[in-house]
Formats: sequence, C-alpha cells, structure tokens
Amino acid sequence: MKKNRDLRESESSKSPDFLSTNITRRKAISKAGAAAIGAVVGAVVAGSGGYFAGLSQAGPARTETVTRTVTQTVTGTVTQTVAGTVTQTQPPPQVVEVTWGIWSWGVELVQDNAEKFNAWNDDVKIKVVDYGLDTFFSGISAAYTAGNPPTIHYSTPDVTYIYQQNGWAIDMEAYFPEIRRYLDDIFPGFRSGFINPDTGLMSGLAYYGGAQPFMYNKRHLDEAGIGEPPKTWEELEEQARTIKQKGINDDPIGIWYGSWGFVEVGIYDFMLGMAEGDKGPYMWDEDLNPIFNDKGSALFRSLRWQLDMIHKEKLASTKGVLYDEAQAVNAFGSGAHTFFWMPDYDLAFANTPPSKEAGNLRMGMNPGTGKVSAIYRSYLVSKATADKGPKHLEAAWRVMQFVGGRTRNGKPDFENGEYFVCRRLNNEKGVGPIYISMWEDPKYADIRESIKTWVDPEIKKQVLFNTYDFFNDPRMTTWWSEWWGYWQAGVARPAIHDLILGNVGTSDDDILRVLNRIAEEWKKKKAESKTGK
Amino acid sequence: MRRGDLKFIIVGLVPALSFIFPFTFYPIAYAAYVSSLHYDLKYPEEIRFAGFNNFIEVFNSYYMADSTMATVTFVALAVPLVVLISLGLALLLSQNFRGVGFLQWLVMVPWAIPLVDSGAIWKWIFDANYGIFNAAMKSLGLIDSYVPWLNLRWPAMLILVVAFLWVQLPLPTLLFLAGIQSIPQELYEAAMIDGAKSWAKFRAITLTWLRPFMLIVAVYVSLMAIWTFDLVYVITAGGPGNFTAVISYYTWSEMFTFLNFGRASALAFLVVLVSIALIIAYFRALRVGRIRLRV
Repeated sequence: MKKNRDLRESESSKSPDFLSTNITRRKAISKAGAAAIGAVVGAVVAGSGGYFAGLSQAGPARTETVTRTVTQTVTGTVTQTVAGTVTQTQPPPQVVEVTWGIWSWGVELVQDNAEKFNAWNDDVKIKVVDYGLDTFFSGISAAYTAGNPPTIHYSTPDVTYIYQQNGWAIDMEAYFPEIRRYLDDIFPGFRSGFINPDTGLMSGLAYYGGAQPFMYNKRHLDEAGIGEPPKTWEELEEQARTIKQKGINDDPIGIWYGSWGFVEVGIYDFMLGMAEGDKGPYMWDEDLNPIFNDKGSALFRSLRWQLDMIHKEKLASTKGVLYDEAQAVNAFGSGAHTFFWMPDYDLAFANTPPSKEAGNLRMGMNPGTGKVSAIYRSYLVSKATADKGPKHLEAAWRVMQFVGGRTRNGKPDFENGEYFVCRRLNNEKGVGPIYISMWEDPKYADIRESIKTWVDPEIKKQVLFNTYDFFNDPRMTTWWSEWWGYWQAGVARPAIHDLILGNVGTSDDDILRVLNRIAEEWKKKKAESKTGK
Repeated sequence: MRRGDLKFIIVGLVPALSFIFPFTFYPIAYAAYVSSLHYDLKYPEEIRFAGFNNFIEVFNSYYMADSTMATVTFVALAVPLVVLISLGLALLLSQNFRGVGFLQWLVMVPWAIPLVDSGAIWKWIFDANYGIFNAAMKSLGLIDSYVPWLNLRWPAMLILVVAFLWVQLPLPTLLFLAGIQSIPQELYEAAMIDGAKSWAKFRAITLTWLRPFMLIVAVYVSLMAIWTFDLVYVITAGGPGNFTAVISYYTWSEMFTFLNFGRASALAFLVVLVSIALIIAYFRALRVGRIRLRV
C-alpha cells in the first residue's frame, strides 16, 4: 500500500493547479457570454474577462476559446478591444500527443476510432503505435525498459501485474478517483482484473471482456434426439456416446489445448466446471505451495476425465493439441466436434457463413458449476505519462475514457455519454463489452441485436455473469511473476501435452508423476523467486 | 604482396565489412556480453553481471537434454538427405533432355516462398481434419479415419525434415549444378580413353571436383538445420510434448516468451560455438584446407 500512498501524496501536491484551470475557464467563458448580451457593459466585462483569463490560464487553448466566442458575437468595437488584449498575451494552442500502443488486431478499426477522437478534440491527438501480435509483450516491455513507452496501451491480465510491479504502469484511480464509478458496471467475474492487487486501486478501464464458454452443435443434438444440452459432466459423456453410436459424429468432444496459447481452454474450463465445494478449482494453497499434484485436486480430476474421454471412451481425440485459434474455429465450424470450448468471439466466425455449420452452433452454460474462465483485456497508462505532468495525464485519461469508457463526441461524459469504442468493437468485430449496462440499458439495444445472428444474447449475458477471473486468483494463476511463460509455456504445457497424447502413460500414477514433475519445477522456481508471488 | 595490393584489398573489403561489422560481428559480440549478465526484461532494474551463471542455468535447464536430442536428431536426418538429394537433382538437371529447363525452374520454386508460408503449407497438408495427406491416405484405403500426424512423435519429426528438405533444396542444387557444369569435359574424355566405367568416372572426377562444393553445401545446410526455427514454430510449435523443440526454439522462447535475454544470449552463443566447431570438423573431414573454386 506504500506505493498507493506515495501516488496519492504526489497527486495531492499537484491537484490544486490542475483543478483551478477548469474553474478559471468557466469564469472566463461566463464573463465572455455576459459581454455578448450587454453591448456597452459587455465590452468592459469581456475585456476584463479576457485580461484575467490571460493572467491565470494554464492551458492556452482555453484563451483561444474566449477570443473566438467574443469575436463572433459582440460588436466590432468589442472585438477589437478583446482580440487586442488576448492575442498579445497568449501563445499558440498546444496539442498533447497520446500514443496508443496496440497489438495487430482490428487495426483499421483502431485507426478509425483514433481519427474520430482526433476530429472531436483539438487539444489532444491520438497516435496509434502497433507493437505486433506475438511480439506485443516483449515490444512493450522493451519500450518501457528503453524509457519510451506508449502513453496508453492494451494489457493482458497475465502480464498486467508485471507492469505494475515494475512501477511501469500507474493506477489511474490514484489520479482520477472517479474511475471507480466504472467498477460496478463491470461483470463481477472480471472486476478483480482491474484492481492492482498491491494497492487496491483501479488500474484502468476495459478493452473488452468475454469468456471461453461451453458450446454445442444443435444439429447434432437434434439428429440424436437430444432435446437439451448437458447440465452435468455425466450427461455430457452420455450425450457424446449417443451421438457417436448413432454415427453423427466420430469425435464429439472437442478439447482445444492450443500449442500457441489458451492452454487454459482445455484445463481451466474443466477445472472450473468440475470444482467441488470448498476444494474449488485451486492449484496452489495460500502460500503458493502446489496442491495440484494430488489425486483429489481439480487439475487431477480434470486430466483424469480428459484422458478417459480420449483414450478409454474414445469420445474425444488428441487433435485439439494441434489447433491454433483459426483451426479451432474451422474445426467447430465444420462440424468436426459436437461439444467445444473456445473464446466467445470465435463463435461469430464459426457460426456464420461461409462456415459449414453456420446457424447450428449454440453457446451454453458450462456443465457442472456453470463457471467458465474469464478472458479480458484492459488499458494501462504508463508512469512516464504521469511524470510528464498533469496535462499529459489528463489527456491519457480522456483517451482512456474514449476507448474504454463513456464519452459524448469524444469528450468524457460518465452520466450521459456512451461506450463508443466498446460498442463499435461489439457491433463490428463481435468482441463483447464487459459492462453490464451495455447488456441491459435499452439504449444499447443494438449490442444484443448485432450478435443475434450467431449467439443468443441472453445466454451470452448469463455466461458473462458466470465467469471466474482465474487470472487474478493467486491460488489458480501464479505465472504472472518471475516465471511468467517459463513455467506455464515452457514446463507445464509440453508435459501436459505428453500426458494427453498418451506418450507417458494414462494411469493415475502416470498423471501424478507428470504433475509431481511440474510441481518440482515450480518449487525450484519459487525458491529462486524474489517476490515470492 | 605489394603495398598497392594491400590497399586494394582493404578498399575492396570496406563495403562488405561496413555491413558485416554492425549486423554480424557487433550482435555476436553483444550477445556474448549479454550472456554474462542477469538480464530479465521483466525486471530491468536488476540487470547485473552474472559471470557464467546463464550458461550454467542453461545447461541445468529442464529442456537442455531434450532439445539437444531433438536438434541432433533433426540435423542428423536433414543434412545428409539435403546433400544427397540436391546432388542427385543436380546430376539429373545437368543432363540434356526435353523439359530440363522447366525442371530447373521448378526446383527453384520453394526458394521463392517465405519460410513461414512454407511451414503453413506443410502444416495444412498434414492437418488432422482437412489435410490432403489424410484425404489421400484414406482414399487409398491405407487409414480408416484421419490421423493427427503432428501429434505423433516420429511422424512429426519426419514432417519437419520433409518441410526442411523442400525449403532448402534449391540452393544446394544450384551450387552442385554450377559445380558440375564447371567440370572440364576433357577429364571425362581422358577417363573414357583409359577405359573408366560410369561409376569410376563419377567417383574419380565428379565427386572429387565437387568436394569444395560439398563442403559449402554441408556447412550451409548444417547451419540452416541447427538454426531452424520458423518451420518448427509454425508446424509443430515444438510438439508433440517437446519432441521437436530444437535448441533454436528454446532460444526464441527464452528471449520472447520468458523474456530472459541473458539465458537466451547464452544459449545462442553456445550454438554459435557448436556451429564453428562443426564447420572446422567439416573442413577437416573433407580435407579442404582452403576453398578454391577456380578451374
């Protein structure tokens, strides 16, 4: 919490100047308005207003506003007086540039949003910087290390903590407490992802939020005479067996492990769905000691079930180990599997033409607990921006509200504004909003309408209410520290793939042997850890 | 050597060295320097001298034994195959027959395709759901249902080798072809007068003449094989498990997934040393003290 206190102390020393400029502007404008109404008195008032404005304005752009207003509305005599006074004392308008660090996805839409913002704002300009897709994290980290980070950038929850722990990114709540108003509008299962665990403060707003829900092929179910999707894991197995026996699908349970990421689709969704009471789906205890290498653990149960489905019951295959995201979409969209788990937005591609199964695919509640893993991305602002001063910080906050909050014509407006960029992401790209109001407020009816072609909006909303932020539960995800990548991608994933493929046996003892090996490597890295997190 | 010659050599080398120094020697030297640092990009404030710790960590890492085995297996399979097949192709393409010009052009095609695209092509060929290989095998009745070939250890390794062959064949073929075409016909005529048979002519003249070319091809292909990353990344991503995760794949992982620049540089530097040792070994094995391609 010390960091938090430091930030607050730092802010309190800065805030008077920062706030006073707004008051001065209002005074100046109101005085200028009075000048426009009364011709004779107006000349004096406007002149003095412009004079005082010139003395006290921190932002030159505001002085220009005064000049323009008066010039357009009052008489020629007044114009000369005011214009003469102001132009002699004011420097030209200054524009603050905000660099927006993105990854290479939907770049045209991002550029278009930036252009719209720039058209609506004279004093703040967005410049988009693309850091690539696979190279995003390394690129941003390198930029931070080199002291040249973007003003605002995307972040994934697995690495947000690294930015925060290094002091690279700031908690926006420390500077703009009003950001907290957004938290209640975020679906509960995502909220922890926007809170810095060390400070308890909100770090930023949301880029998007979704889930990796359970999906099924309704045509396959109908042909098999099955009326409802499964509610339990036993029902799922039974339905899969029926579908296979009737020759409708040879590989009904599609498990996507994803060598290129999203290993959690194959692991975490099963752990969450199979969680039992207080045992939960946890991998580590409170002290971050491994508890997954035990027969009673959620991971063990999840792996046991998967191995049985693949190697014993033959209701699933190992194909999912090979899928990248495009292949996963193609596989489910072509009817290769009846049941599947993948990011919700991928259903937009699998369930629409030219996909073979377009219109037949459905999103459902995860069997068992109904809980599924939350996936979301956020916006962070660099500490370097705060160091540049309040003007830059305020510009970043304005941009953050534009891309992840409520604005009206590019200007912040929490009360009456709209989630402009979030709305476009949903309607044009199928990337769902994380804000509850966008699913419930009638003014966002288009959100639900635009996705009706590929998903039932009500089911999607229910799924979003059932997400679990495993990224920010230390008992489930602790790779967001020194061993980020190393343990998960380097150690755990290949070992689990070997297990799934049957290369190292499929018995209970084989599972435990693999899990023990992973646990040992974990303990080794934990002993080397400096943060212990 | 005359003074004027030396000046000419220096001036002649300047254009080449002005590129080689900043883009080859400097990065290697810098990698050597970084390999002596504790340099984790996730914690840049803690960069400090680490001596040989990175090398020790790399040697003791969980992946060292497996990735060394994967690399040795891949190199041992790929290099002889590329050398032999490209030599065979060059011999074929040096003959005079109808359509040889088209064949020469055809052999060069893979060269024009970026490595990542080549990898994607091969990955799709062996796809578990729609791969053309599975379709062909099934239509021939050789398999009952589609097989996820890339999930099987040795098939996955062999697919990588095949993809590597396809990508790497053009240049060695071209080099061998150039070598064959530079052999003076008088040698073959003299051998014919002496009563030499085809095999004797091939062994005594062609192979002997091509020895320096073979050295160049062997060195080039070995280095390409040792440093193969793109194909592995695209086709198998190191799988199944980590069966095809060659050392260069872990160099990339250390650098861009784990963001540990120190260990990545140590690993890269080790591979450079192994590559140099391999080149020296080739020179000795083929008894070529200095490459002379002049007739």
